[in-house]
Amino acid sequence: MDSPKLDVSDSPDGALDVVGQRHGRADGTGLVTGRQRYVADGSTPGELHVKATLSPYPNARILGIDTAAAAALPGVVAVVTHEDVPLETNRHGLYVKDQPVLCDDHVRYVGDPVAAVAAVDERTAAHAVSLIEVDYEPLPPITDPRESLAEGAAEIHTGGNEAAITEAHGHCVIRKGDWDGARRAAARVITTRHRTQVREHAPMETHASVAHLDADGKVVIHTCSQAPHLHQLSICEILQLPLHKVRLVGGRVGGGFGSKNELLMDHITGLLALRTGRTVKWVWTREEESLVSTKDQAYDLTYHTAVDEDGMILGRKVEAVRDNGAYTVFGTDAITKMGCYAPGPYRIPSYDYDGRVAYTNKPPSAAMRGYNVADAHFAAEVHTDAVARAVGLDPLAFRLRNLLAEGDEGATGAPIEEVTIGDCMTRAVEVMGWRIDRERVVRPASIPTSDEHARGYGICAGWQGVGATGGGDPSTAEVEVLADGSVVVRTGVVEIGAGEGTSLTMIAAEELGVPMDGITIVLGDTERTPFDLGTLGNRITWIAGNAVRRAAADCREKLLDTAAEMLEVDRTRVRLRKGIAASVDDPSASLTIAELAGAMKFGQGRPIIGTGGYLSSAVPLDEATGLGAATEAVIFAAFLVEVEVDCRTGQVDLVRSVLVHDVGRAINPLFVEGQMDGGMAFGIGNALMEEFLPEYPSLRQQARGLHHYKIPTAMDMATGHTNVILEIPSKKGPFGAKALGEYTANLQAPAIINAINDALGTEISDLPATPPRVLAAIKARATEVG
Amino acid sequence: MDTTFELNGSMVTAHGGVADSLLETLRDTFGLTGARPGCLTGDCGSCNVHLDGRVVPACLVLTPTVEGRHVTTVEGLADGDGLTPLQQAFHDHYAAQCGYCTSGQLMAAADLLATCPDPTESDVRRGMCGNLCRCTGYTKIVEAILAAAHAAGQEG
Repeated sequence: MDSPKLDVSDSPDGALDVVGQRHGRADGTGLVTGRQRYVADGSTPGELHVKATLSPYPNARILGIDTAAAAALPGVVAVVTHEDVPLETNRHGLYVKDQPVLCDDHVRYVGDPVAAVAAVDERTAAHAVSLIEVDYEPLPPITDPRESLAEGAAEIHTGGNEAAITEAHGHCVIRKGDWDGARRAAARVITTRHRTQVREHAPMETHASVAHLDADGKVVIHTCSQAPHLHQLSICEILQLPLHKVRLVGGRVGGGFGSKNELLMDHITGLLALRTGRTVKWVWTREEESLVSTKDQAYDLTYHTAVDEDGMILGRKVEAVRDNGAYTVFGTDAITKMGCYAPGPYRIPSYDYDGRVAYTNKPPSAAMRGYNVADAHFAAEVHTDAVARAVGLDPLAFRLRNLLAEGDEGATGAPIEEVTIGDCMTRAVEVMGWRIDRERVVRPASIPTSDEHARGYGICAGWQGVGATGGGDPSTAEVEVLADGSVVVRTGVVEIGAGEGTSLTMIAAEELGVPMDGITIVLGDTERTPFDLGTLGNRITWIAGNAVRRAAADCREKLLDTAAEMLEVDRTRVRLRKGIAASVDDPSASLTIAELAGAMKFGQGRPIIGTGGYLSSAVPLDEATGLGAATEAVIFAAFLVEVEVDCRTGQVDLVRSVLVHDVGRAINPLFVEGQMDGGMAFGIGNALMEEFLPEYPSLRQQARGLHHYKIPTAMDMATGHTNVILEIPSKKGPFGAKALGEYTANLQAPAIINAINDALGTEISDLPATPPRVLAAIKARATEVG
Repeated sequence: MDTTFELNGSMVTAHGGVADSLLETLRDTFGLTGARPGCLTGDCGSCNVHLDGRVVPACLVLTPTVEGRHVTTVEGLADGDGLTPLQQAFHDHYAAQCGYCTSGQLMAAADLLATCPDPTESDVRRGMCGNLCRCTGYTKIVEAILAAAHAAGQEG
């Protein structure tokens, strides 16, 4: 499909009517009146409730499953096990089909589902679950990835405990330049190791799914999925039904953050609806959410940097082990994305990456906001501070010397354009009121005593690509004009809270040339919206936005062709703006969009539907070298922070901070601010509080709900924080916009840990820096020095 | 068992189990789904309602204990189709992103402003720390509450 002109819309002076406004949420009223419905809201008379048998063991063989007593319990309508799954293999998965719908021979994590019950109410369903007898043969669990990858380890999956990423090497490999040469030529090589923790997404809405059969027997599933179109494909395979016999109605999610990227419920409620012929509803308690849902991954990362006499980076080598949990889910893709961003936004002539994915008997590590790039930022930036210290340079000065510049190669060898990391850093430094002194090394003068507060500064330079690594993440959209001139946009995107619906509506309104009150949007319904990969992967503004823009342009062309005819002017002399098609030369010669719509539909018998699609130009990486253009665009950000550490308690407060994101163009600055604020909370939680497995890799004390898993409250936020929205327009993004949402949570943890180390003279290298860990580091430093 | 109480200004009777939570009753019996389950352990505030004018987590209130008392939910904050100044402020300041926690935030905020009509930012953060939000980072929620307090103060 031809791409329409991607310059600014038809307005004569290039001014924008809608994009760039601080427009309120189009769907905002429902959110503040309580009237907005989520999947779990509302009930159907006679609906059945679901509870599942979840494995109590992290690793066990299943010798037998007896559901007879459960099935006989009054009020139980259906009990399903693997025997009821239409797909014979009973295995699904986006990249590797290794995850059972319901476990058959083996359970691989505590919470792995074995059977599901549909009963007249939740209490009966729970009672029925307690009557299901599963004969388990417990096996020793492997929770440590190092143990899992060791020679002779018991197999978690047939074929071994490491995911196969490439045929050439097995694991994920990137070889750029000559690391060995760099290492040998270097004045120094600095090595550090970093561990990131397992986190939970903890969206306020737990997973929910409601399935029923419509009058024609079609399976209709009301879903909280972040990717209804994508999940429809898997569900249809599992239920052995064609796409037109299964409808996923999504669109409204009470927080995603990646937790709702995978198939956890909808295939089972769909199955139960088919079995019972009734409405089937499944809503997880917070404990079930904690237990069963996928997690953010723990990484074990070793970084080596070779520097020359002048503190210039000659090469960087990264070894990564991803603790993938029990099933592949996105692991094979995630490890590749890690490799692409692991080195940080620096000019690095030689780069070696070896990324391994280890299976363990823990909940699957799938996708959490940041998607491995948060871990990459953490290790890269804490390591970079260590490198700066080793060569005797101020951490900021060291970074500025080595910062990526326009046209430099990224990690996978492709040159990067529109490099604005320098602009982001400069702006951040300006707002913080810092001075750059190239020769100064910042260190605390004395060891802190228990009476003191210590202050320190930290930096994080950030970069992230748009869309899925290696491409293959299409978005398609429609823009239709109805008989009265009102407009509907249709896209498979769902609203997870970032204002996706309103943003895309604004893009469509701008491109089409209609006011916001004349246009609405339909989201995430596989029967009503065209395919979009899903609200994930930092892709909505760029990829879905471009698709919507093209659809709106296509629609506008159709309207203007007719307008030119009806007004008897040349096609090039007519414009559509604010809902009116007018001759440029004689504005009184005009037609409203309502008049055009009426003429086209009733006078000409034509539909008025514009269609558009977008696929990023990213390509898969080379099998052997890992090189290639993995993303269509890289976007940049910077975060600076001053912290104060209470040396008596280990508590860390953010005293001043500035977050700079280059968003290209803010489609809606209000939403951009909201994402930056939200990212700050996520980042603070990541840096200082959140741990799903406090005794990682052991499962002891595994968090079971929000009582155990502490996320930031209004009192935990940074007091002196400033958001800076930088707008350096892109050539390819819609109206110059870039990307943002997922990304705003990546930069805080590295900078905060750098600041703590600066304050205390410590070398904390793992997450999170909880008060006991900070105190331990203080003690260790005192011992070292004393 | 039957529990008769005032709900958003009208007398109602709920027929249910002795161990039904007020949250279940509001959602399942009365179709008022603004109060939402986030944790069912009183940790998140998503299910906040007002009981005799004070904010409580409905998940921790047993329905029989509200016999003869006054319950207000987010649906009962405003008269008819309008928005209260607090709701309007939440809307204007973009204090709701996914919206799931918003009802609970509003109920806690209304309680806060009723007891502390001229709060400092610190008062607001302290008063709202029982409401978890994973989306907004709280900044615009706090702004909205301060704006509503200020506007109310101006009206005198």
